[in-house]
Amino acid sequence: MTDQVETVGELKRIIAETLGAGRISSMSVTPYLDHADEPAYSIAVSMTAEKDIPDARRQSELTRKLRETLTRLGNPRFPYLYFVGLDEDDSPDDVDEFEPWPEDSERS
Amino acid sequence: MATLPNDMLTTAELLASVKPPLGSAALRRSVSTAYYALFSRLAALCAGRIARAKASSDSFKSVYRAIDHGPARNALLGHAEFGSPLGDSFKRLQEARHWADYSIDPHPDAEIAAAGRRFKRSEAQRFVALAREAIGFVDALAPDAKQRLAVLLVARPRR
Repeated sequence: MTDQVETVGELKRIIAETLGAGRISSMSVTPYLDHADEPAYSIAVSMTAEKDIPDARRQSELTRKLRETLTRLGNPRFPYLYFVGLDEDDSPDDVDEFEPWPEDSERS
Repeated sequence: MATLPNDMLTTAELLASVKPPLGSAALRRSVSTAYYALFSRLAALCAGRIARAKASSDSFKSVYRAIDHGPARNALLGHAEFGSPLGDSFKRLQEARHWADYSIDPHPDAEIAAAGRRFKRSEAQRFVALAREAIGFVDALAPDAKQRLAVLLVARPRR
């Protein structure tokens, strides 16, 4: 558990150092098993401004840094990065798409 | 020139621009199509380098279908030459594609979903850009590196 706390702290330190701590509003690092049942971290980074979200190349560089760090620490998890901008338009791009069909739950 | 992957990327961009009320479904299709654009580019590379025949030939089609999602991901990730950025991008896109195709959660990240935030158009666009970057990486490889990549993706390690 201590290892995990220290690892998450190290990942957050690298992200802050790479992207600039002042540009980051918050971060969450959640351990889970990915779609292939392989150990992973889902890392959500909220940037203060959408313009500071790194482009594809910088995201790849950051992923490589995080993966190399995890390998060095003997941690097999893969770091999946997701970015949101706090100033992004928060209106949904659609309504909820998974409303249950009432007839599906009708009793026979 | 592998035009199908490029056309798939263009399709993914188009889907990422679809407005509500179809927006959410279109964003999912955009992410899935972006992954398949990269997968198709890798399959075309394998077929072109290994079959060395016309695309209409049976041998080309056989090699094109020889690459599997899981083994390809594992082969790329552990590889010194192709692990980063190609393997990392392939794995990220595959995970996003799995969410897009199979999950009813509003976002692939559990914390973001729990906060009530939905997957945004800009996020779909960033995954499309990631696929474009990865395809550009493959396109720019020297011929001998393309050969090594094709063999890596198709050859099965001995147990």
